[in-house]
Amino acid sequence: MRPQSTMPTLLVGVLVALALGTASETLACASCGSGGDSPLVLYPNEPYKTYLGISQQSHFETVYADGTVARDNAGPERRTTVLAAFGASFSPDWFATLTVPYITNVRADRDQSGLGDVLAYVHWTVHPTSMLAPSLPQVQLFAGYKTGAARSVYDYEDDAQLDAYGTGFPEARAGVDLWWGSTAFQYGLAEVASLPFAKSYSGASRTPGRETRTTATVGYSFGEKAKLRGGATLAARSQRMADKQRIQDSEELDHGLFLTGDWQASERNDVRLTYARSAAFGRNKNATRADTMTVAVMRVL
Amino acid sequence: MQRWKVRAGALALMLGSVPAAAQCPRLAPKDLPALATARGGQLELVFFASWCTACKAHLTAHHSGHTVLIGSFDKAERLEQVIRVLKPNAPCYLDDGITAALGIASLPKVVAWPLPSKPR
Repeated sequence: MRPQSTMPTLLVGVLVALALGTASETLACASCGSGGDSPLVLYPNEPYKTYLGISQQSHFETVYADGTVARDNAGPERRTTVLAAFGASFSPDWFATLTVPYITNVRADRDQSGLGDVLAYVHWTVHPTSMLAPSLPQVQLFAGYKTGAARSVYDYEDDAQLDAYGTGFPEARAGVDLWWGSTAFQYGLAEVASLPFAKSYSGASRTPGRETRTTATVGYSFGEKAKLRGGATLAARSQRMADKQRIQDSEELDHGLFLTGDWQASERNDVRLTYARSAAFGRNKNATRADTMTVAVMRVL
Repeated sequence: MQRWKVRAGALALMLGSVPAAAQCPRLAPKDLPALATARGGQLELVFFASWCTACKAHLTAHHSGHTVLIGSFDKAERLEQVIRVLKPNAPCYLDDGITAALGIASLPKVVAWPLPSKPR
């Protein structure tokens, strides 16, 4: 009779012990690290925090309403975004962030740079994680406002639209973020609704559709030093309007994927590496497919 | 009648509708020398918060007479609830500027006080 190997049992034991027994950072969120436009969150022990990230977006393709995919003759082939954010805590449960993007669009040997839309967010932790009830999630509500001041595809001046840095419309946002982070294996779900406001371009009042964005995240925390998270996003936007008339077939659907690694370089400094792919899987419609790599440094002040 | 009042009070306390008396007094940096003298000259400061699951092991461990627990970066009621439930064998205090004075930025954190002097 062949002796039974103890290796699989040992391996399972080690994995279970790692999953259940490792002390880990409980605080995070389902949407941070998903490659979104407001990536900074503050923990209760962080009075002020800065974020400086640089991301490179490439392999742009447009997924049209009928599902066909094509490279565009206009717009950037490559986009570099420098994202600077500052956050301040008002109490263990409240913090606010301000995010400013600076975008460089490149096509062939030409490039254009300018400010993107500024984002302001307020976060309220309704239910913090507690060591007394580790199975309950951290529940965080947030509200935000995105300016629509940056030049967009509605008012570009560059022939190849390289000076389009924003969506062209201001937007109010509100959402909820649930995060189970008490064990080494972590998971969460975030939902954010965006309400864009109408703006006039070329004499016509235009309004993008309302958007809901769902983010599902799973992660693993390697003690306090490193975290790995991955997940999927589903962004669905209703039909656009021009002069109060709905534009047929203009609704958008974007299924994205992301993978993020956080490394605590020192007690006050974190480094984050994110890969995100928009319109990555499933049915997408009127969406932009692109690969984004981001390197960011976060510093507690 | 008196017995029912006591039971109702205990139930309300359990449900959290009546705040329990504060268990953890505030502790400022200026209070540390006197506290150290009272506890044999040396302190082991254990910083914790209710949201810090990694802190739980520090609270439930058996402590020496030099250990004091300092709740920080958190609301007083949450810190005191943790103390009420876990019943650690060391006194607890609420941070009143000690984390800022010692430059504590993350939890859990265990610090010896007085801080060892730097070699000249």
